[in-house]
Amino acid sequence: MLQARIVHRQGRFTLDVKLESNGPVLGVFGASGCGKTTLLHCIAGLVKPREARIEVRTRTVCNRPGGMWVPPERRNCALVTQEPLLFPHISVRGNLAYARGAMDELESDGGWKIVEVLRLKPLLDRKPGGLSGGEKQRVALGRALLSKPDLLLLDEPTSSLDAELARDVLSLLLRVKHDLKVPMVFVTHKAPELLALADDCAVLEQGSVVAHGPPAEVLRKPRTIGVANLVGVDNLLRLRVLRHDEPGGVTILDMGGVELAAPLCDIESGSHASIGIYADEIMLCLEKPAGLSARNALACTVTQVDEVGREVLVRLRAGTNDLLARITPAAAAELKLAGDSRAVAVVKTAACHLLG
Amino acid sequence: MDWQAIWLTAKLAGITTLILAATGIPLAWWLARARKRYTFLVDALVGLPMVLPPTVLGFYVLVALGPHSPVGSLYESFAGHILPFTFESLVIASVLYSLPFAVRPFTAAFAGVDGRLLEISRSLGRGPLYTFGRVAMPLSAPGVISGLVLAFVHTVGEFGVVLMVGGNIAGETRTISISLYDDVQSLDYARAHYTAAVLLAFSFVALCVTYALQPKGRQL
Repeated sequence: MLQARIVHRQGRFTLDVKLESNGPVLGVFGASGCGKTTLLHCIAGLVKPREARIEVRTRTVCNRPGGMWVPPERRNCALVTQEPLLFPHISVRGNLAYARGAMDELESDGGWKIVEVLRLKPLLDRKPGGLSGGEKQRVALGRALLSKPDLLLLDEPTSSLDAELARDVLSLLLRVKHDLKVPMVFVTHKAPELLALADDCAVLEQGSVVAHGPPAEVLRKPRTIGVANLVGVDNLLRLRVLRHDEPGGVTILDMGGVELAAPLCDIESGSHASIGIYADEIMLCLEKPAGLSARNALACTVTQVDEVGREVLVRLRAGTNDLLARITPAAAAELKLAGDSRAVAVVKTAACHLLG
Repeated sequence: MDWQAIWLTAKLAGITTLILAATGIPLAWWLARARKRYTFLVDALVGLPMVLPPTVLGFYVLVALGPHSPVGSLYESFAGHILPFTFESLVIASVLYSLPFAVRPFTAAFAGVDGRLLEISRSLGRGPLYTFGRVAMPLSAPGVISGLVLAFVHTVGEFGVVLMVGGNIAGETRTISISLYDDVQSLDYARAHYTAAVLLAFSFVALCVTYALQPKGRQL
């Protein structure tokens, strides 16, 4: 679906990516300022990168240096941005029929299906100025789809909407994906959207792809602090490396008198490593279990227990570090956890994610 | 009323405005969009006629169009007579003189168009010209119209440049403001009052049109 090799400098920022994806929906995940929008603009042809080779559905649209550069209007990559950017002086119908060929498309069955899926029929004769944010975004999506794009480029299309409208737009995008089968590049900084929509995911950080793979995998095993923050990894620890146990396949880190076994890494002893642990990957016991495969059974003090909805958040202190564990109310009741009680936190080595 | 002068003035202002539309719109688009390091130079050049005494501008145009200049001698070899003191020379001088009054409102209007709308248009398969005509022009129409009105009115009212370049030849270069000057010189105050009042009313109406077209809160 998309092959891109781009080097582009913009002031002090450099976008340097190599991407290959069969889609049909490629999610591009990253914090703001990581170069997601610049990447989309390079694909759309709105930015002319110094060096790039971009192929959209086996068609080369850019090969620089060397001169080959297809202007945006002939790339057939429609863009939907965070703000809907409807043409304010044209009616909704005019906006929908704006693209080359969209007038005929709007009259066709396929076009009407788009109008119906996006619930645009009652809006057709209105001016964009009077529409709500969600309505505008639906029109923008319709306008892009009616151009019959080879590739739909979505630049955080739900970011300017409140939670409920964002969910609505997301469910519409899912219908677009399944019913209309339009390939997309979907830029977002929201992990749930990525999981819901993308088949393939590239994580962008400071202009480079730092991770690429199925979204679930990329999110479950964050490899950098940036990704861990975006995903919402509950425990981010900065620990000193004590030693490596190569035959054992673990690296031992210091939590301040308590040792943590993480997957073997090549960080020098004495240096620091960042470790991320999800709160629901920590198991709590009252006593250290015998015959345990998990390498970590950390003696902790419970500092706080909060019941939040249907889950209980337990704050623990292990050595000089704080840990957050998430358990069910049933488990909390059985263990009778309370402030100052003792507990053992069991963490599998593989649950200690080493962040770049 | 000097009807000949009125017709001549209307013709001059009309042709000048048309030329300014044809040249000023692309120039203003470039000024508003390209924003290169040296655009300030072009900005300053375009703005010069606003601060220059009309006689200075008129003098240089006269020299530039004179029989010893490349433009003047080329014209002479085709037309058989010299370029200054003709209607054509007045048109050239008026275009230069009224340039900022057209280009500055154009530029302000174009600069106010959200560039992202133009990008969206391109991504929807529409080329730069279609995008300009369908998005940029309608959105900047009030500014473009007021630029055209201002250029027209300003050309109608010019005096110093006309006198320097065109002289005072009835039916060829005697515009209405020159005619008014003649009236006063010949102490025909009644006729002068009449001409002046017509010019005043015309200018006021033209300005009303421009300001009425401006979106609220945006000044020229």
